[in-house]
Amino acid sequence: MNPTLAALLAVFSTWNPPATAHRVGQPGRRRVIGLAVAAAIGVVLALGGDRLVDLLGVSAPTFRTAAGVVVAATGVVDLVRRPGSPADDGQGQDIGRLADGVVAGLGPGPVFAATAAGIDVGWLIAGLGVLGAAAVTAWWLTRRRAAGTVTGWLIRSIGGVAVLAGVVMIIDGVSTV
Amino acid sequence: MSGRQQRRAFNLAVTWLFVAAGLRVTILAPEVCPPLTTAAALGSAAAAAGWIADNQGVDGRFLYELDRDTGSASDDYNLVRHAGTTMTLYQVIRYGGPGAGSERFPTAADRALDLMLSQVVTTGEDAAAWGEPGTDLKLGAAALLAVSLLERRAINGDTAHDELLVELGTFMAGQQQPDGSMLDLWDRATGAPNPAVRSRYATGEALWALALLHETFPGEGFDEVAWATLDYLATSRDEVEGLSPRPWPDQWAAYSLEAMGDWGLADHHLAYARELSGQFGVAIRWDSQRSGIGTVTHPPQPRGAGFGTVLEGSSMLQRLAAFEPRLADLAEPLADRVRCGAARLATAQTMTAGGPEAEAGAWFRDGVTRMDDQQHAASAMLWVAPLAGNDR
Repeated sequence: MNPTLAALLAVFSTWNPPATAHRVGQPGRRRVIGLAVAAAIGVVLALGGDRLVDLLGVSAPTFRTAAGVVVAATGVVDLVRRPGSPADDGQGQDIGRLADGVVAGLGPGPVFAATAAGIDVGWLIAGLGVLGAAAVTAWWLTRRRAAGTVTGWLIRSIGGVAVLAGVVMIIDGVSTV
Repeated sequence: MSGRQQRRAFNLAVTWLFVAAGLRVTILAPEVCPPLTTAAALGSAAAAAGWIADNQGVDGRFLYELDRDTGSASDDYNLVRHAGTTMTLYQVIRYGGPGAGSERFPTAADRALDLMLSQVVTTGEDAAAWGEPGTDLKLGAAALLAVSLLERRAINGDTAHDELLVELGTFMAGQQQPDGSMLDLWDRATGAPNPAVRSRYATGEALWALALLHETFPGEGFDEVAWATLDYLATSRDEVEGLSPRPWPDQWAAYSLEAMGDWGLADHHLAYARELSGQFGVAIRWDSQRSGIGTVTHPPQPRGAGFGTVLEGSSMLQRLAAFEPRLADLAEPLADRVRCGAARLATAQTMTAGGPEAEAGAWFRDGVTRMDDQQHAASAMLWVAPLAGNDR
């Protein structure tokens, strides 16, 4: 698989917009801002991926392998986990609603995928991928739909893509010098 | 924040803690690469050659295996390893720098060579191999005898064995099958190759020897034989011979690719080189993570021979990548890997000044060393030395 495509698929599928939107809960400006904050952190990680790898004392292929494991595991979780209903009444303080968005977008999967993509295909492409995934998530959030059958299958399908992207990253990481 | 939101944040923090800690002690363990200088690499090679020479018998045979805990030496022996160890001694003499100027290395190498030459057998018209009386003749032993002779020829210009060199090449060519594969044994009883036995090592050894023979004797047609076997290794060997992982990390194939690098390698040869590079690279990265808790999560500790072959192979591919534009992107990563791997290998070498002679210069694992531990590690150090850092 083309490395750029694999990196973008990993970023998008670990964000898994319908699943993330469902975890965020009810739509709202604060929650969208929270998603934007998570996306901004992802862009920063894509930008500083090389430095992070140096800091960890590992090579890029080793990081890619680890990121592939995390991406694949994230996909497996989305494949098997039932979306359930968002236990959210739409109330709460502003800071809490902001946190809903940040927490939903800062799982290990999106973070590792963004960092690895930044190292492999450059921060610009990786950053655009993160922003695109966050934008789709925000759009999905505004649809105010409960997790129906179609959404459930969509979440699982995207989870399957994450598993595939993760496996590609693992193979690539292991077979690279 | 509501209780739900706090739980969610807490769950994320716990998830991150487990993921980060789990990865840090396994896949993301730090890769530890000590510094290595050219002098240290050459010194390591010379020390290993010293172990080989110091423990050689008067009959030319080397000490095969030593258990330092019991002080016992194994009665086993392996002729291919004898030829390979002899070859390494000549390589140390040729490439080892001032530290290898000692007379004991040429003396030991020539003594080991004389043992092989005394057992050369004619296998057909203008073909010869060597082996102990009563045993089948091994392809790998003939190949590494040929490389030994070529190294010696390059050192002292002695052409006395040129006829034998061509005969060894003819023998190896006679072991080749129509698909480019090689048969490992020549049966003395039938006077023909044994069609049932192949070796994962000997095919590459023969290929490399044939490539080097072609460089020295270009009119003998050894290049055609070499091309066929290289194609076989690059395209079908692993499947035909049931080898894994694929491609099987064959350092002899890497030597061959480097030797044939200016012959006009095809894209499928370079694809093979790239895949081999990956195999060697991940082995070095994995080993470099064996420190601290990584020693538990990154088993097993490699032996000198095994890790030496990884470094030999990656060094040869680094050389190929350094002059082959289609592999240029691999040159620097491979250089980084071999420097790291060689530095780690050097730190594992027993260098007990004043210690028991049978230990100094050797690599032990579980208290045991075998002569090919020193053979492969010493050769690897020679190839890594030019890539190592300056002494100042």
